[in-house]
Amino acid sequence: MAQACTGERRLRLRVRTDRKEDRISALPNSLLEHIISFIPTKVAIATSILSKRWKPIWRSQMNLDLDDKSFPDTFAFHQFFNSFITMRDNTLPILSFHLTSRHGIYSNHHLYDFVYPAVTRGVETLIIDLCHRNTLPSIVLTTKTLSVLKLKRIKLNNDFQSVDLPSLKVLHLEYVTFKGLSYLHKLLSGCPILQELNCSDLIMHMHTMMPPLGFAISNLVRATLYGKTYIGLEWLHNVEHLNMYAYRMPPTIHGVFHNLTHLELMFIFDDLGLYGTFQWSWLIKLLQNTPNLQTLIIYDLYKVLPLPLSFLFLTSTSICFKKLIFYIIQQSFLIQEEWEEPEIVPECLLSRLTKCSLTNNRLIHSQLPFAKYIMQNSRLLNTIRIRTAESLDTNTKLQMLIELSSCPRISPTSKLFFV
Amino acid sequence: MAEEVSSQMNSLSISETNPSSSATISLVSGDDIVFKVEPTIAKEMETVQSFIDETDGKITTIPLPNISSHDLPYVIEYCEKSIAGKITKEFEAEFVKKLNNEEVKELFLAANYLNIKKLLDFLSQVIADRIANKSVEYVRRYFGIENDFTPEEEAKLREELAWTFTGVDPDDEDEN
Repeated sequence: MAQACTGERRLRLRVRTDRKEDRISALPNSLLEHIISFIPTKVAIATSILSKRWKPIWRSQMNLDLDDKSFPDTFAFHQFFNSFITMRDNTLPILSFHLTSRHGIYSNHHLYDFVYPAVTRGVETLIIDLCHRNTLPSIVLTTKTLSVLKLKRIKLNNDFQSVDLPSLKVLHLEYVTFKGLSYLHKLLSGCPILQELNCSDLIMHMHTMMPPLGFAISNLVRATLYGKTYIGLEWLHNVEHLNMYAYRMPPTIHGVFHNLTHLELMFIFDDLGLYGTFQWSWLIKLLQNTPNLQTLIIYDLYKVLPLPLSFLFLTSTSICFKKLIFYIIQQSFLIQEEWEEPEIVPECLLSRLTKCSLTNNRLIHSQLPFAKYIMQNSRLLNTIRIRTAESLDTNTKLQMLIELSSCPRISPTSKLFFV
Repeated sequence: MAEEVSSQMNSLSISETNPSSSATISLVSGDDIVFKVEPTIAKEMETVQSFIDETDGKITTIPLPNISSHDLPYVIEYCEKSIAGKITKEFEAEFVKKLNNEEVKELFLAANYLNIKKLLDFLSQVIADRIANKSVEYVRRYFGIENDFTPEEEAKLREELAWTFTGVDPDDEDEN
């Protein structure tokens, strides 16, 4: 161990001590603060009672995570928040601010008080999850340090003047209300380096005022669209990853997605034609417009949601029942469509596609012919994975397996996984 | 003399024919057990790597007096997954399932000592999750913290902070 001795200069540390000893409290403040940065602010404040050593540690928390649920009302939470902010060490930045409210409506003035300390102290991550549709203070939309912004159940329909989010890379919007499409467009235009966009069930008061033609979020790499998002697929033409769950009409396809390599689609395939949203012709068109696609994953959500629940899910953002009935009738016509082989094999199958996966497959509605088409035409196919629905009986599964494994595969190295 | 044991991880076993095996790094735990690891693993451990760099790679046996032979394999396993880009939520959940509270703390200290940021962040989160919504007494026991407040001081603090103790879980039996 002669070599090791040379290292002692640098590596000599305290001799290993008895495990019962409080070695955590013996650590420098920076490490206690590190642990504290991972816990909700409420718990962080509670650690001040542990011992004198711990008493001031919470004041250095830079990742604030606050929830109003332990407070009797919005007024009490606002009061607490003000004294908390005064007591924390305000020479330190607030790097992330996560606010969850399950209490009710805050006045605009209260919400402003909540976000002001963060936006003026270099906040990088801001997550606001409210239960009623309060209005987002417009000051947030000009926070230059902001890199991640996640909003849930909040309105962006005040007439915000300008959006300037030069550092924003990640934007998640869930149940966010906009006054009109042009506001959504204005928001996205103010995020020049946006890389990741997740939208889920946006609410639009006015559908008019379309964004200008040719509008695109040009640096976007990943997009996830759930439900009604009003996001035009043509805005996303540079994305590499696209994740889409359409429970209404699938969005119209314009233009070619040259960078798209990974595509995940969730649909409801429905043999009764009540809830289905899927159209084969739409998928074929999409495949024809994604020449570099490598991975294609399709989930069938039919039985993942129990029937009454999937019904609720469908209605969750519906404005009125009549509209829904109309929609169901409309869908039931659409679903009649059967799989038909396209005249030209999509480019991605010929030269790129290596992975295809069909999940919760009941092998109805042409899912089986589609799987066979992929196997027969994808020259570079590595794996095709078919996860059948639990509801399928063993006999049917066996027949499907026999049919699939006897289907010729053009790619000599491809493997079939059938679960 | 240090007793040589091969690491439990198969992938760490050194191939006899591999010419680069001479570059293997030996990590010596506090209880004098030698763990041979690939240089890529050592790179994940900033403290170890800076030691190697300082000696221009001449020294490949590194004593780690603060880390026991019980904890070191966990650290190596994590670094290995990290290099392979295989740190997933599933892996982390499995990894932490094997660890009791005492081991989590020991590994936290080890990650700090070796300066492995990813592991340190992950374990901070684990500790944070394990003390969230626990009573003051539980957290004191968990960390082994001695309460140095007078009863009066503590009562006053408890009153001021009463709101932070709503929703606290009843104490479990000690998990150790």
